[in-house]
Amino acid sequence: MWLWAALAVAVAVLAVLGAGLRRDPRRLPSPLVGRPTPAFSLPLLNGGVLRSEALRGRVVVVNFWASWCYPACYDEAPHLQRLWDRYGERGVVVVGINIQDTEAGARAFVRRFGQTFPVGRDRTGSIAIDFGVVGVPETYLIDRQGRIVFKHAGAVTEDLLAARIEALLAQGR
Amino acid sequence: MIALGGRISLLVALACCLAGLVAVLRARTRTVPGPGAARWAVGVALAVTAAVALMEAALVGGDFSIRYVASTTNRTTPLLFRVASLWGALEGSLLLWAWVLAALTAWVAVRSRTAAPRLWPGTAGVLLGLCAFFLALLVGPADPFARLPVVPPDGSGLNPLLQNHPLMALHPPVLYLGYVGMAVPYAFAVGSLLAGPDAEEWVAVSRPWILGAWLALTAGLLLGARWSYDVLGWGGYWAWDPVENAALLPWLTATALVHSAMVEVRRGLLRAWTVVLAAVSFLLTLVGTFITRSGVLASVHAFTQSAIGPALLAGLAAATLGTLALLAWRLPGLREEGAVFSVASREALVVFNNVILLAMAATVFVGTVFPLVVEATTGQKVTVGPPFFNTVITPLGLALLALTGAGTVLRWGRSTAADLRRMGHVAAAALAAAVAAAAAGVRGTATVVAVGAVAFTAAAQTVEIARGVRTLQAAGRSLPGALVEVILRHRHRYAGYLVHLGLAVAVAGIVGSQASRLEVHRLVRVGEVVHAGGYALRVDELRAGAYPDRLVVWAPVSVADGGAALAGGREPAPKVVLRPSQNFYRHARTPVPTPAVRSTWREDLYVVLMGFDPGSQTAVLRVVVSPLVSWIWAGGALMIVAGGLALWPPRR
Amino acid sequence: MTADTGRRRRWVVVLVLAAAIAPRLGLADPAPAAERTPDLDARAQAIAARLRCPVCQNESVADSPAELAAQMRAMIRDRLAAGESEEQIIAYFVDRYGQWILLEPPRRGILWVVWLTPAAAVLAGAALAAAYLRRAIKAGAASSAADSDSYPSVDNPQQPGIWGQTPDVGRVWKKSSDR
Repeated sequence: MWLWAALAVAVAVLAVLGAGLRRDPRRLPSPLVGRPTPAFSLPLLNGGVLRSEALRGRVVVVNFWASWCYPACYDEAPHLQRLWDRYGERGVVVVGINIQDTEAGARAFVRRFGQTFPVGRDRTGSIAIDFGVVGVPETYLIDRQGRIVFKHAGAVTEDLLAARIEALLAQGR
Repeated sequence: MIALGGRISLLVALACCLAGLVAVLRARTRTVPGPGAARWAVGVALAVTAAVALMEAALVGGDFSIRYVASTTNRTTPLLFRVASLWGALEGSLLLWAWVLAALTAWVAVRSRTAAPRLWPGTAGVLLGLCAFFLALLVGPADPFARLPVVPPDGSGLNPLLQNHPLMALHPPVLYLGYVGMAVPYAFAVGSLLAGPDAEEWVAVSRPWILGAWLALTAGLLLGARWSYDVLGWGGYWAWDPVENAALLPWLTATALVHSAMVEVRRGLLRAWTVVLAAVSFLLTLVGTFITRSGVLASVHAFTQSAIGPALLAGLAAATLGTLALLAWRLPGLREEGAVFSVASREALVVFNNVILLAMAATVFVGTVFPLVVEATTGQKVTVGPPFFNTVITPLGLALLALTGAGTVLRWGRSTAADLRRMGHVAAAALAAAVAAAAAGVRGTATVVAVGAVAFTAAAQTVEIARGVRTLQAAGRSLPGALVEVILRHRHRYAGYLVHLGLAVAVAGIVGSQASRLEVHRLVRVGEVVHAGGYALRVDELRAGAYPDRLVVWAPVSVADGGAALAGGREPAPKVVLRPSQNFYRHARTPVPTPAVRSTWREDLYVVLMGFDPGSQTAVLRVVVSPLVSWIWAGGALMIVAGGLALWPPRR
Repeated sequence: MTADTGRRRRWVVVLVLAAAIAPRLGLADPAPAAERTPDLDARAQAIAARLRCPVCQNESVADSPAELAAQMRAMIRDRLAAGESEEQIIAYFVDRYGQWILLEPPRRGILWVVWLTPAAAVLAGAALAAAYLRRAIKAGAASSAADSDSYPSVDNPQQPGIWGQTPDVGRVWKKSSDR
């Protein structure tokens, strides 16, 4: 009788361990998806301050990055620039937020990839913490009403975001 | 060349394993097994030793064509850490595991084939089967000798945290000795279940192995705690990290097994339970291997996620289900249990101690694995961290201490009124100690109770040792002479007393360091005096130095007695200068802080340089003052020495 | 080389190195010293000790050397100085990161299982032990003093093994002359 109980426990434990194999312990779900975006004011590298309220009414791509984040941030930088080139005139804003980095490193990175969209530095990390950022790169997609609809941890590609952006642009029409 | 030689050695070892298994199967009907399987076991050990020697040659020589060497060393790695890189990453650690397993198998083969011939076939089957499993992993998915297509000019090197302390060279091999050692009692138990009534008594044969594996696990855990304390910079020694818990679980059940085996052999009780405990201890080591290497739980210690996770799980599943099947088949046929004459007896106390130890193991296991359960069922992520474990393990630990004290005073069979009276005296002494502690200002119910429990255990051991010594003194010996003689004459029993005493001292250290730990985080200017925990600390300067593998910035901190500094007005002479530093390794992004510690029997002063700014001449220091930390190491050392004493063979 | 030149040289080395390195550190405590009181520090540390560092493997925010952890510690201190309570600050982090940022699992829902495990394990074990001992004591009471062969007695060194055979027991080491 005890052996049946032991067998049940053993099978349960093995099943749990097996299920654990299929997930990545480092991947973390964000509780902010579906909720209004946190307000922020971002000091830009080119001067001035970008406030999140000013972005209301447009689709926003918020990308957190750092110059030491190799290779992911380096891989996605051209994609982000292309998204800006494609959709910048159509009511989409790409915002780059540099975190846990140096000013020199950030400027060098922007110069290297010729980024023309607004880029700023989050010196104290409060914007990153507000967004629940865990690592770099992380990208958030925000709709016209200011709600976070999508979060991606890791390098993004143009294709990954383009379809979603199109859907969001079609929405508020 | 080396890589080829290494692979060939591992393949030869695997072939010897399989040949040995064939020999075991063919010999199982004979009453006295031939030397076949034993010879193959020795062959396995020699072949794996050759593979290890070749790997060490590659590591020391810096052969970067081998992927493992390139990922764990670089040109600037010092010699000691090159040698220790053997167990620095996944494939190498498996190679170490296989080596220890093969060596133990060969040793068991040589000793037990003649001493316990009827147990030998089953035992050999289990041990050779395990060897074959791990060698198959090494030859297949976790090949340590895999080569890189292009030889890099320099290796990348291990995580710097693994390269700045000599204990890196000692902790893993000792711990593995304990882990792998738990397979031997299990093998003997299985041998006994398979062989049936004609077989030798497996518990008697296994007792030195049980004790040896327990001793190695204890030493491994203590070395790990000490290494954490010296290196990690948060002033602690145990973080309830999943990999740490994976080593603690078999230790808890092994402690239960040591006591249960003693009772089985002396009183004929707990027969089936001892078999089950041996199996559980071994299976928990496999679970530990799985957790550490599969990437299932995030941990500071874990090796990177790899493809061998599913293979290890398959092995664990096979071992678990096979053991259950064997138990279901053979356990009912075991002889009926012996008799207990009183609850106030040592054997009853061992039963209770097993209950507490297994409850602790169940708690630690559930807490460690629970995040996986929650995620599998609800998709949410949760953390079960140190605050939980500290809260629930404390009462269980104190209960265990109380049982330890009581079990020492009571005797086998039926305790006499004199025994109970003696226990009353010891309990009264413990109560007095607790009251004295409360009166002296110790705060917190748990801490006061802990003082009482520690005093109870320590007093019980001392009383029993004193009784033995007094008997010899009555026969005319001097005190030191009597002490030495009684310990040497009844090694096993007195080693037990000393181990319990060491445990009490270590727990006193743990309680002291947790209960009134003081931690201060301060931004200080160079030359400014800061007061913390009764000390006056002053950062003298910020210095930098370059080493072949890293850049070091350190901040000499003069430490003086705080009271004298405040009262005297003038600056008192420093007692000591501590040198916490930050190490900047070439390939690491964040610097690695190395703490500086001043240890006394009363307390430890622990200083970490968290940050610095040479421009403004400031530094951020973390200062931790924890009482009685040295007692943990002292108590642990006593446990290990006493355990070794129990293992030392008596003069023939 | 005089002592002065040597010292100056050392400072040059430190400054050059620091200029290269220090910016990367992002000094751990950006808040100026005058605004912080020890009490605030202690409270901030206590809160940080309850939170798990998001970028580390199983360390608390108080203990972690990572930059994000340092920024979180600074934020905790700022919020405390601004008058927020401990519960409000903890709730903020849980709101942004999720339940897992708490090191101690809350006693809610399915997590009750983990909190009840120790007591359940002890009770179950105690019940089993009681049943076992009761049976064994009954056997002890039933055995007569003269019947010391079928049941092992306290001082009888010849304990039959698990299969009923007579083994060599009691000692830890077997002599090679046996068997």
